[in-house]
Amino acid sequence: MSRGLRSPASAAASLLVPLVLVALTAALGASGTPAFEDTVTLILCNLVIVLGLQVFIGNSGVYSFGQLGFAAGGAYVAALLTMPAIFTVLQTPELPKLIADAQLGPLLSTLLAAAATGVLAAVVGWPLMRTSTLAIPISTFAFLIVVFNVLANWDKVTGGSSGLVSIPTTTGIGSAALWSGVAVVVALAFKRSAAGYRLQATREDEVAARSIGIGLMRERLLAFTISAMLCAIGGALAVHQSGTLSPKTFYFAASVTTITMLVVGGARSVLGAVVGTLAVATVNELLRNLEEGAGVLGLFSIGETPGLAAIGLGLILLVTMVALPEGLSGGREAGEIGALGRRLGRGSLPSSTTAAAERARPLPASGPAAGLRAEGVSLAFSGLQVLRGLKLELAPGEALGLIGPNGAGKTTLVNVLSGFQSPDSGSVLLDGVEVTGWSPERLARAGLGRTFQAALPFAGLTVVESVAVGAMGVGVGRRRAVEIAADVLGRLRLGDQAQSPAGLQPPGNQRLLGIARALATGPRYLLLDEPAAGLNDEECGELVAILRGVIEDFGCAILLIEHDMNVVMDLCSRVQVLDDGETVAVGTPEEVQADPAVVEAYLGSSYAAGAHA
Amino acid sequence: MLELRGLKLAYGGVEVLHGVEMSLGEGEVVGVVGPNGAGKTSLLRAICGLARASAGEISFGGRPLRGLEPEEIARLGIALVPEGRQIFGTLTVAENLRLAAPGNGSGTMEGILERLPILRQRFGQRADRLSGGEQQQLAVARALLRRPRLLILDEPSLGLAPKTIDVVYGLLEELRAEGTTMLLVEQNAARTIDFCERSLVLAGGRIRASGRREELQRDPEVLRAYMGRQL
Repeated sequence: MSRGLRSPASAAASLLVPLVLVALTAALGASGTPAFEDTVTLILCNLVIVLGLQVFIGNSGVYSFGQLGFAAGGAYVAALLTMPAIFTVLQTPELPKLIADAQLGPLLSTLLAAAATGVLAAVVGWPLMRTSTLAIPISTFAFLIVVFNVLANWDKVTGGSSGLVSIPTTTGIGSAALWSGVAVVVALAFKRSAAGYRLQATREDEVAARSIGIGLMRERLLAFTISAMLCAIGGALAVHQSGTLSPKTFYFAASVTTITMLVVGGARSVLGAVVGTLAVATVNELLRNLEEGAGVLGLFSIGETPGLAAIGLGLILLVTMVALPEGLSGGREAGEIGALGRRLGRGSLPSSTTAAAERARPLPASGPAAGLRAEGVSLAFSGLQVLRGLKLELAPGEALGLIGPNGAGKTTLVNVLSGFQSPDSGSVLLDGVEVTGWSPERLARAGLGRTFQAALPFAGLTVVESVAVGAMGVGVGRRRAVEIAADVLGRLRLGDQAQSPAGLQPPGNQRLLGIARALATGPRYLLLDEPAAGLNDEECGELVAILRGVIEDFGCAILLIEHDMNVVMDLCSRVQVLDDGETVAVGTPEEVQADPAVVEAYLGSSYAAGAHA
Repeated sequence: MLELRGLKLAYGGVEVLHGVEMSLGEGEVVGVVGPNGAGKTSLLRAICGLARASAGEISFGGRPLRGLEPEEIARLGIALVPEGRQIFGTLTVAENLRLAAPGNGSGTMEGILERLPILRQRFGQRADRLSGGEQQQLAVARALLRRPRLLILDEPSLGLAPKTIDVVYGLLEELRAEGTTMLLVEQNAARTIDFCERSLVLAGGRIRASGRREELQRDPEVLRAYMGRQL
């Protein structure tokens, strides 16, 4: 299902193991007493909710405490759609007649609950997903409280704080297991989709993700909505299991419990959501039996101890976070764990043949190529003038070197060109279009790629994923993105590292990965901020050859900030020298090197002496 | 002064150092060169306690370091200038420097500001507002201010303008004259070998060759054999 990014064997294992766990759990439940079966059924309903949490929290790395509000929404919609009119008349007198009279079956009501909640999530998420990464947990928490208050106080429609009773109990262990299986498939499919990878990229590094065309809000909103729909399904199933519902059913306690399940299992993986739910639910049930003085398996009993389950839950969370920060699953799917995962994942990258490279050629240059121009760009940071009316012109297919002392404003200029910084005055034109003030992601999609001084790796992704997501960021589908990644990695001679985690690559390779990621977006203008830093002489030579190939094969222009003068001289036909926010020289490499002002400000007399020796 | 015996290190089940042996005498300046991915940064991280060695011994002045926390190792007098400038971004330049040298007189600070004037110009600014090269100078200055017994430098010239590289190496030269022991990692092998009395070639997680400055400069083939990218 995911040729190239994960091998078929690894993908199959990642899907089958959680499904088998669900099936085993259901089989175990069905073989016990009716009370035990009910308990297991509810755990499976919870699992659907936890898988819903995984879709958003696991892929975005942002905690939402509001998803249980959607579970509550789904539960209420499903309950009211299935209750016979004789009950709704008494409990919810002002409910619209259409809903009050409706007496739908379990499947239709569950699907309608998911759809209605999906719309609600999209509307609520529209503003919430615009808030910062740190504000989302708080604003979603506020949403949960709002939902509770509406449900508890809108008596005539929701039944108020006393809740609803006489809800048809249609959820059996079979349907709960079936929906759990569906949720596993949905969560895995999302994680391995282009949208899923784009969201994971924002989790790994927001700035780097924006530089390859990924808009935070859009990606988060999609996952938030899918997550809410799964939570609604879980809520609908649970309410049809217990037959009663109150505003407290899906509130604080449930929110904390489900998030604990996800964290204990390992939020980044679907397997983690399953394992965490089963592990925490098991311990929780045992503790609750102890708490009620019932004893565990008839072995021991310690009399009534209220609060034991809550304390136990807290301890589990604490111990897990200290001992296993990535959870029981280590944040990995079944097909990625240990030696087995390494064996399954091996050799799955499509070979970078000429034919593949031909197919994979990044986006063709479109529109009139008039170059990238900056005119009169000025910028000050808290009183310090960093750029002073700078002009820069990068012609199509050209390699322009940008050099100057530390603090001259080189990186700031690249930040202005790539949309990460708005200039105080002046303008930027991309192929004749005024793009001043465009967001980085919009500029990336318009053909402007960049790298950063720090490598900013997508540490939690594999090497090939972290490059393919560059192509996905500008809207390329997954299959083609993998071909592009294979081609780019082949060029950079990183193909044999494709399946290893990007975060474990040595610093020099991480820098190359930053270039690979930018190349995968198919840029027409590529801004490189010190790409040769951390490479030795031989590797610098390789890098220059690779960059020449990029210019020749793709007609891509390169703006190169670099202190290694050999690299600048080898690659660039023209060099612009900045000092203190102003251009002090422009010319061929030879002219610039011989310029006394450049020697004084930048190269230093010992360099000049060495160059002439 | 620093002894490594059979040092092994693994990340997520993949071993990156396969039994490294090396020793540094008091006042010695030793370089480590090698291709990208050789394990140079991992080696420095293991010494400083930032990565947990899986086997072997590390001792500093006769004291075993394995199992100590990074801050305990730092208090023993080992200072690291990390690759990638880990400075305190929300503090000012002045605060970054004062944190590094709480007990030092203003003389040392003056001496360093004299040579890295850009830091004096930026003294009251937030460190994350500095350019990359300025941050690198700040990281070096911070390590120097601590007057360490052993100074470990991971690519101190990374991102520095040629002229500034000369300044930083001038500072290191003075430290050498004062008898500071140094362990230096640089991608620029020629510069490293020229600066250090002795250099080791690390490739594929093992020490493949070592020699004194004159030996390595006389016989560059020893190096060239190992400097290509080995992944």
